[in-house]
Amino acid sequence: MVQRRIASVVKEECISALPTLIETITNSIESRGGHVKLAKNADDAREQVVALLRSHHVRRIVKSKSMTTEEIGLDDYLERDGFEIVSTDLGERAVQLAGDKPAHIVAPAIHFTREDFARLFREKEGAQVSSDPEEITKVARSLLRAKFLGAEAAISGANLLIAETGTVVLVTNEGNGRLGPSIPGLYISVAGVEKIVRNTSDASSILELLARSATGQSLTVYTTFTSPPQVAADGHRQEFYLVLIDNGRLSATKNFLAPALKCIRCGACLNTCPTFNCLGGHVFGDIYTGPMGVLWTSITQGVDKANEFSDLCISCGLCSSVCPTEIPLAEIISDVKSRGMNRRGRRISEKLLTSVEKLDRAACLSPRLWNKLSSSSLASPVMPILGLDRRRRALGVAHPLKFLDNLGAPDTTLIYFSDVFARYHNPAIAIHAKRVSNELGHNLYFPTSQVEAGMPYLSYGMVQSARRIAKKNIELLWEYVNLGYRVVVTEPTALYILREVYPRISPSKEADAIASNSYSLGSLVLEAVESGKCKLDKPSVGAKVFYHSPCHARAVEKTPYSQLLELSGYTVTESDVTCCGMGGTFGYKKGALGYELSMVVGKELFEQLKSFGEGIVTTDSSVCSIQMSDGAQKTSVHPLQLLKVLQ
Amino acid sequence: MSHQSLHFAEFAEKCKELGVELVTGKEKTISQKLTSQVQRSEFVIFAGLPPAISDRFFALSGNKCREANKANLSTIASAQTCITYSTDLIAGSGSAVIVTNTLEERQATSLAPELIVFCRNPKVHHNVSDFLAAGRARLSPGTTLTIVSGPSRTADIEQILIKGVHGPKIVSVYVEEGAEN
Repeated sequence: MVQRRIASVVKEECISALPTLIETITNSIESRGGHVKLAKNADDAREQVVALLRSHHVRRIVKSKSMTTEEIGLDDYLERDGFEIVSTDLGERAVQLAGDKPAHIVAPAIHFTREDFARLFREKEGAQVSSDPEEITKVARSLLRAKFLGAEAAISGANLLIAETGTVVLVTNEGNGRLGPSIPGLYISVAGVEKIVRNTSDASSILELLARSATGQSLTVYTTFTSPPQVAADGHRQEFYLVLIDNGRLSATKNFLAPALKCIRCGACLNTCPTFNCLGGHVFGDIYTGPMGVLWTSITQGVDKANEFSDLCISCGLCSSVCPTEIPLAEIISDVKSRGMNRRGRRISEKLLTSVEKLDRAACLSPRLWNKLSSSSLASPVMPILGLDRRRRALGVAHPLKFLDNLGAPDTTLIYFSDVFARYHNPAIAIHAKRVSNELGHNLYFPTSQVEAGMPYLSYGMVQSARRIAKKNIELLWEYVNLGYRVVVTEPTALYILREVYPRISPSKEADAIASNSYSLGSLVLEAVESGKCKLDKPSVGAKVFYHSPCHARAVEKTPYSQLLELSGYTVTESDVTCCGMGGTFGYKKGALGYELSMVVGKELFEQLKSFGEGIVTTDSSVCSIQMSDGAQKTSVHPLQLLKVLQ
Repeated sequence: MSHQSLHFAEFAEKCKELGVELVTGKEKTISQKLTSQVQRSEFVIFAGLPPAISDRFFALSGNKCREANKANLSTIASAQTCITYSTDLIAGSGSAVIVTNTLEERQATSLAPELIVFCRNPKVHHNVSDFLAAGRARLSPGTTLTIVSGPSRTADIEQILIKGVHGPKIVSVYVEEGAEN
C-alpha cells in the first residue's frame, strides 16, 4: 500500500510539472546529440516518424511492443507507405500477421490459441511448425532474428522517460526491446508525454510495481535504461529521436481525466474486470481496452468514442482497488458515462433503476398489493417495456425498517447505514444485525432520515445526482461520527460507497472521517473475537457453507465473513469468483448489455454453486443473492444470520 | 550475518526460482568452471569485461573467443555464449546489472543463446529501489544499463511460460569471491 501511495504521488507530481519536464528532457537529450520532436496529435506523430525514416533512407524497421504506436496507427500508416515494419514481440507479431489488433495491453494475442499461432507462422511466413508452444517460439525467434539483423531502424515505445538524464526506460520479458535498438543506425522512441518522470528515484518507485501488477514478477526480465545516443565501438553514433506525443494528454491534465495520466499500462484493471474477462478487448475497448481503455479512449479519441463501450463497465469497483497508482477508474468511468448520457438522454431502464428508493417507498404504502401485483402474470410482460429483463423478478417489499434500538452513548451504540435492500425488501437482515450488535454489547441505532447509498446513479453516469445523495448522507452521518459514533453496514456496496466513493465525489473532511469510521458489522465481530472480548457459538459444527464474497467487499477490505463462519464451526467453501455479474442493477436490464452479460459473467459462480451441492449458501450482498438465485437456483442468507456472539 | 550475506542468500534463492545457475567460488574454482563452460561452446563473445579479466578468459578460451568491440554484427550473432561483467546484483528480483558502453556490447549480451555474468565481490542490493538510490546506476550518455532477471521469456501463447525468445535462454551468474576488484 505504501508503494502504491508513493507511486501515485510521484506520478501526480510529474504530471503537474509536465511542461517543465518536457523542456528538461528535451534539453537533456539534445545537449547530448539526440533529437526530440513533440507531436500534437496522431496525424502529426505519424508524419514526423515517416519524415524521419525517409530522411534517413530507411525501409526496414523492427518495432518492440508499444501501445502508443498502436494509438497513432503507425504500423498501418507505414505499411501503406511501403515501409516494412515488423512487430518483434511474439504476441504482437502474431496479431500483425493476422491483420488483427491487440486484445490486451500486456498480452496482445491472448485471444489466439496455439493452433492460431502455428497457422499464422505457417501461412504467412512459410514456416514448418507444429502447434507446440516451445517450437512456435523457437521458429519465431529464428524468423525474427533475421529481421533484427537486417533492420535499418528500430522503433520502441517507452515505459518511462527520465528527464534529468534523457534516459529511455523499457521493460520487456522477451528481450526484443533490448535487442531492437542495439543494431540499426537509427533509433526512434515514440512515447506519450505522461511517461516522463523527473529522475531515477521516481523511476524506481514505479518499476517494481509495474512488474508485479502486470505479470506478478518481482521485476521484468529486462529493465533497460538507454541514455542515447548510443555509440558503436568505432565511434560511430546511432541517430536517436524521441517523438513525444500529446494527443489529448496535455489538455487532460486540466480536466476530470487527469488521474488517468498516472496509468503505467500494467493491465491489472483488465485482468480483474469481470466483463473484460468475458468479452475481451475486441468488444470492450478500442485501441486501449477494458477499464483503462474507457479513460484512455476518452483522452486520445474523445468521450463519445469511449461511450461506445463504457456501458460494459458494471461499476464493481475492482479496477480501482487493484490500480497500482490509485487511479479511481470506476468513478472516472461514471463521469465518462455521465457525459454520454447528457448527450443521448436517459434510457427508461436507467430512469427506473435510479428511482429504486422512490419506487420502494411507494410500494411500501401497500406491501400486500405490490407483492401481489409484482408476482402476478402481469408483471413479466411489463418488464421489457420498462427496459428490464423478463427473466428477472420484481422484488417483493416489506413494511420498511423504521426503528431498531435507542441511541446510547458513542461507545455503546453503532449507527446503521442500511441502503435500500435491508430497509424495504428484507428487514430480516437489519434484525439480525441488531441481534449481533446486541450480542456484542452495542445498541444498533437506525437514523431514519438516511437515504439510499446511491450506487445506481454512479453505474448509469448520473454523477450529479450521486453527489446530491452523498451530501445528504454525509451531512446526516457526520452528526454521529463527529460525536465519536461508528457507522456499520450489512451491505458491501454501502461500505464501498462510504469508504471509496463519497470521499471522491463529495470531498470534505466530513466524508473522510465517515470513511475511516465505517465498518462492515462482520469486521467488528471479528475484531472482538480476535481480541478475546467474545467468542462465537458453534451451533452446527461441520455443516457445509458456501460463501461468496461480493465485488464491492473485495474492493474495500478482506472479507471477515469467511473467517467468522469457520470460527463458528462451519466447513466453508469460499467462491474465488470476483464478481457475480449483476453489477448492482446492471443485470436487471434487458438484452446483451444487461441480463445476458450478467449471466455470462456469473457462469463460473453458478458452476461452483452447483458442484457445492447441498448445504447453506451465504453472501452479504443482496444483488449477489438475487443473482445466485436466478443463475443457480440457490437461496442464500446473509452471513450474520449464521453467527451468534457469546460474551 | 551481514546485510550483504543476507542479501546474497536471498539472491541465491531467487536465482533458483528463475532458473539461473549461480556459481560461487575462489578464482581457481571459477576459472575451472568457466573453462569447462567455454569449452562446451563453439564460439564465445566477451562484452564489457575489464581488461585484466578479459585477458584471463582469453587465456582460458584460446581461439574460441572474441571481444564484442572488435567483432562485426555477424560474428557477434554467431556466438553461442556471451560472457559479460557485473558489479551489482539485486537480491529481491535475482537480477544482475549489466552496463554496456557500445552497441556491440549490447548486441552481444542480447543475441547469444547463453549469457554468463561474471562478478567479483559484487555489491548485492536488497531491491531495485535500493540499487538506484545507491547512486551506482550509470546513466551517462551512450551507456545502456540493463537489469537482467533471468532468461528471456514469454507467455504470449496461451499464457504458457516459454524461455528463450529473443534474448538468452540460459543465464548463469559466476561470483568470484575474495578477489580484489
